[in-house]
Amino acid sequence: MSLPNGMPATRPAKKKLDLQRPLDELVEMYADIPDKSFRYCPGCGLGMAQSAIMRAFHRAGVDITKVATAGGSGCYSVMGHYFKSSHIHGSHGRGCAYATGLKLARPELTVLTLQGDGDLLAIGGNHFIHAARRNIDITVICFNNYNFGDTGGQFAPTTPLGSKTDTSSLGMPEPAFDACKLAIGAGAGFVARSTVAHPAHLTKMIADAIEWKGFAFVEVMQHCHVLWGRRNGMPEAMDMMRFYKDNSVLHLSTVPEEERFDIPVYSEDEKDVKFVLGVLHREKKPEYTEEYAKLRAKAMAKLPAKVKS
Amino acid sequence: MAKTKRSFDIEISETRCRSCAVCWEVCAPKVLSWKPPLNKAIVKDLAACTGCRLCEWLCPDWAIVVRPVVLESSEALT
Amino acid sequence: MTKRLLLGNDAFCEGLIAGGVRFYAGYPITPATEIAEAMSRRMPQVGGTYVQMEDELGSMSAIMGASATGVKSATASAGPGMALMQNELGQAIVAEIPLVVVNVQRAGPGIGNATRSGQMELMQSRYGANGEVPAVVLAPSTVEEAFWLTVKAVNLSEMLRTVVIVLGEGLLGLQRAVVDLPDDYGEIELAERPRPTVPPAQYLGNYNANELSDVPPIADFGSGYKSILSSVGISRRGGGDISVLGLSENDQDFTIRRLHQKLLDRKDEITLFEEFMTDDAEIVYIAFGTQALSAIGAMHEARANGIRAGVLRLISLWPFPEEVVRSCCAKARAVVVPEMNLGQARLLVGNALANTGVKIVGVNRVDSITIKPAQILDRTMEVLS
Repeated sequence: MSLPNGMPATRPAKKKLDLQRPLDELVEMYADIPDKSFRYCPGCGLGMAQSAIMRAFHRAGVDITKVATAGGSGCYSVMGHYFKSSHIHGSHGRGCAYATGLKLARPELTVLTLQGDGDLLAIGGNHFIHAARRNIDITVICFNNYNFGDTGGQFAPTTPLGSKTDTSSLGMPEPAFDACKLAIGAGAGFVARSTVAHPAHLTKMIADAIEWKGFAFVEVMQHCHVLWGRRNGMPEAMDMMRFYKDNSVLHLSTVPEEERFDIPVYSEDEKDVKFVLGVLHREKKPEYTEEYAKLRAKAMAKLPAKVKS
Repeated sequence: MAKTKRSFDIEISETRCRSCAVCWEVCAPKVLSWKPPLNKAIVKDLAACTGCRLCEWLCPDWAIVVRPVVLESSEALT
Repeated sequence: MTKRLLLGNDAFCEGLIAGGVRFYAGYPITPATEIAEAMSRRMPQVGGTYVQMEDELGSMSAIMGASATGVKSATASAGPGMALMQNELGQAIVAEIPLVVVNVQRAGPGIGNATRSGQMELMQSRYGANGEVPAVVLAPSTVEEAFWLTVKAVNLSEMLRTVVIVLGEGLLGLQRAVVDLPDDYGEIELAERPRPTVPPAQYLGNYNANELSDVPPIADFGSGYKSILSSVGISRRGGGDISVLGLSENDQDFTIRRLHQKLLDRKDEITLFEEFMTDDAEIVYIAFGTQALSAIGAMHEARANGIRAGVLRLISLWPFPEEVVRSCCAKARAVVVPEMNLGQARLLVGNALANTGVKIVGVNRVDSITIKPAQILDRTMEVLS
């Protein structure tokens, strides 16, 4: 018997997880943080997501010196600097393209992009869908805070219809993107969603994405109570955390009982569901760097060692 | 049979804390509280801590560290 | 050395390979497409990688990523593709990522005339990107030079930790010529970027410069160092302190001036030019790229007619070799600048010869038809009469 979306019924032998390690030890191992506080607003979900990413590094057991991250502009853009990994802090929206270059040039690296919703889905949408199409082994983490936070809260492609932002003070007139559906449509092999209000689940989703061979996408619902929340009746961090908690359900395919993290399971007849969490799509496909390595081996066999044609 | 009780030590960095209220709001046993005037997080009732670590995992400024306390004698566990 | 019949665009491609480039990200665009085509075949043969990206922004970004891991990387484009790339070009220059970009210039603004040739992107190469970013620009005149200059471009980009633009032309990229190429590229001397020599714990980051002329070391991703490549938060001691985004006034000033000064202090190594009979020249033709060949033809005709003409062929265009222009025109009464635009090089020559009293005129065409030596000669007669 196999479970939906190709998940194996018999799970591989569990590796020993070390999830109870105190924060300061994890910081020593993975992070490079300033003595003063982060550059995020007080209560910002980015700090929580950053914590989950660090724990996911630990859970996935990566060598942090072999991790490369890429990102562009946005509130999240400092995050890459806070880890011990290498980081390209480039221009707005190009994270997936940087990551493509990084991974192709050095396939042994673990490559992540840290991108915001505006960065990934608006200006960087093209790079995102094409990286997904290539199925290159990178992990794209999208921090969805419903707006362009760094510029002061303008509407983004993910802003829910009707909600108020700086540039939609009478209500957002455009329908929003479902980033996960976009990723599935573009050919991503692993697509998951979680929220910062479910830190253990979020950590597992990111760790699974890092371990996934192929293109992996994790949408992190990450609150911006300062800009989006304030304009939409949720002015405190906790208001938005409760909003995520109350409106989240688990996707059926994330099934194993021990991994439900007390989140209710999604059923098709439920209406008004806002966030379907869990692994939404899992599909094994040929991975690009491996396929290219085969092609390269073929080409080099025809033309041995000599550089000249 | 002796009932074991695990205890925990919570360390809050006052320089990192920015009074966002997330930790004491998520803490079900009400271990954490706040101290005026800056409303920075403090530990109010350490004995009630169950070690769920939600405050540590959710603190956006990484100001809270929860450590299990290793008790020395076996009597202390009873 | 072997004689080979080679397309100009293939010469760029072979030059990149000989220079050590092992990662190429491309996007098809006339008249630079042949470089991507050749690279798609050649890169896997030499153990490298070719990737066709979704647009020019993507290909620039991908080579930035690849170069960050220490692999020499390049791309090529033309016309509107180059315009798109300006975003990432400025980013790569200020983040000091070594890259080579070949611009096979087409004619006209906008989509322009894809199959036609021009020299209209001289100024764009230097002033196209936002912010005050410097540029290193090399312009070959012949197919054989396209090969060697591209090798030089790769070396300069590594040595200077910057982006080097090879300013080709459609006319050059799409012409076939018999060229002499080395049998074994291994004999060519290659430069490597400065890499850190201290252990990772003591490494102060990729921007740890103390002097304006410094080219700081750059750590490859995955080499054990924490390597941050960033265009913001750059300070003298590296990109570590990002708690306050953006630079202090002092750091901004230092960063921007250093980007320029590191090139100016090495101008001797960058500057390339060729002069013909300028010692006694009363009239000097200053040209670059394919049009320099017409200028040489005009010079011979002028000499045959008893006019003491000389030619200064500029090979490196940025940083602009002003001293060279001044010394070559020391005895000149007039300077003629033939170019396939409306006077971009003339502006730079005029700037170099300001207050010298030398008369500067141009021969300009924007119809993609090569300037004939006779035209230059006509202009010479006008100026001298």
